[in-house]
Amino acid sequence: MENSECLSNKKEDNLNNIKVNSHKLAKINKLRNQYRFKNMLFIIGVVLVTLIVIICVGAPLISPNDPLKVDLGKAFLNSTNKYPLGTDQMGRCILSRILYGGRTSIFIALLSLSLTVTIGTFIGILSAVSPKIVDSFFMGICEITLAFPGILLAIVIVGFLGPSIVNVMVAISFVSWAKYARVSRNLVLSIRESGFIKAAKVCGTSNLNIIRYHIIPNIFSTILTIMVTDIGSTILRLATLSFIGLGAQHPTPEWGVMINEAREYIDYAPNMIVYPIIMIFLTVASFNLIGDSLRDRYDGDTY
Amino acid sequence: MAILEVRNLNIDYISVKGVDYSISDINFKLEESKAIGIIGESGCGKSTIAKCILNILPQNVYTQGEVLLDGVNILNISEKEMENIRGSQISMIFQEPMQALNPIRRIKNQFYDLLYTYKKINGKVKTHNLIVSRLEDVNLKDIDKILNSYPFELSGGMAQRVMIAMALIKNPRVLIADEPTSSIDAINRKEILNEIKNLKDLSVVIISHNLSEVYDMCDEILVMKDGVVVEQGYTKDIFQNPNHEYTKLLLQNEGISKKSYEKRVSC
Repeated sequence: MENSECLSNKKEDNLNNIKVNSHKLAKINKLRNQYRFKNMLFIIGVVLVTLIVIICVGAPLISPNDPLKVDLGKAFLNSTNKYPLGTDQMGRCILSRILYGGRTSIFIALLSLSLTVTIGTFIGILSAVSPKIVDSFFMGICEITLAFPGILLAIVIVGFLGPSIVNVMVAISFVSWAKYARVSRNLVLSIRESGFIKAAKVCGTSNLNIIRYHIIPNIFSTILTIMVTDIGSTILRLATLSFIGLGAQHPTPEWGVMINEAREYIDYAPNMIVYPIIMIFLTVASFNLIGDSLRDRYDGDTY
Repeated sequence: MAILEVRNLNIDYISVKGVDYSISDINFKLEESKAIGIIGESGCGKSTIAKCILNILPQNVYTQGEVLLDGVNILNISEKEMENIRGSQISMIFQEPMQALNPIRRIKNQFYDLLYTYKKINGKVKTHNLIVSRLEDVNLKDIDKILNSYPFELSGGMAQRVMIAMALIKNPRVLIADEPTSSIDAINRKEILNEIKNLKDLSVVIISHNLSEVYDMCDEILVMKDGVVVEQGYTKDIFQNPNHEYTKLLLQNEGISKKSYEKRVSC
């Protein structure tokens, strides 16, 4: 009985049963506060991302108006009951366009990022387990890709392929797979030398199963962390390309496109440009908050 | 006929500078259900021989000679054929049991990964029974709990026993134990050595830097120094009449005299 009580106390506060002097206590409290702060940032990030995803996925249910309906008689309205954030130069509801635009932005960003990660990790693992000549070939291509500034290369690629949302996806994947390939190759090379891989090998696990059951699960957390950190920058890249007219095309609601259109009326109707920028800021910031906290956790950072 | 025979084995670690380290002229024969001990100081090439037999040496190593398994040289066969030999013919346990288990997978899953093909043919229940029976063979208790735990939840002795069970799960005929007890306390060390000793129909190669460990386990002993075998022969002969200075020194340092050996063997 006594024992269980002691245990339950320990669960609540593990300092109760240990004598600590004030020095130690101050240090422990500092660590705890840091931990709480980081935890709070993580929770804020998760809550914001959840909210944004919910409103974007539920856009057809929530949005007050049709995002594509043009009504020139209602252009440049300030916020009213029917148009909570006002209307743009063609009389379209800004709120509805933002909600639908979020769908495009986040969905395309996630899609292109998963494409990037899959290709990058696959090439990385492949070059780590292949003979040296294949390895140098892939790493050479990686270095060439990394030598160019990402956004410039993406602009060139979309320029060749023609502006469209699918081509932007391809371009973004093409410029950012190299990072994942290098990271996963290095991770595989270091894990391959560890004891459990050798042990699994001599106990008779085939090479394919070693990759499937031992290598991939072990690099997964690191790759996932980098991926979450990269969601924000991918959304930004997508918006950038749309802003300069290479991504989503004119009537499609997309945040980058909206900013591009609102740019001309920035003096006359600032609400048109402010709301998409706020949305991009919030989305990128909240994804980065999650990514940073995940990195802190998985990199073994002591709080 | 000997199960495993090593003939004129030379192993060279090569680099741009030339040959960094070489192990030369290793010869031994391992008969059925017998044990051979390889003894020597750290870095004298004991583990390299074991890795060479299983063909898991790094690429900067040049090997010469023959490793015969049932009369077939396994040094030059393809990786695919070697995969079939590892585990089911020759298996190995390492010195650090904690590092030899994947830290992020449950013990149960690591066994299943190993028995991938077996599980496909025989089904889950039969596989589970096989795993449980192997773990019972190495005197583990509370098997369900062990199967559901992660490696860090096990003690060193438990992890080494799990490793032995893993190495033996495919019924190999030869077990290479590379310093199996170097990271384990004295009591567990004795028990684990006894468990290896009591495994039936298994030929064992024990690698150790500790003479007293192989004392009463091995039928034959190779004493190595700086990549060369300095003395080789039956355990009894070596303990009673050590010829080489290094062997004498080893015996002296471990406090093993002729008298104590005779006493130990007689009881």
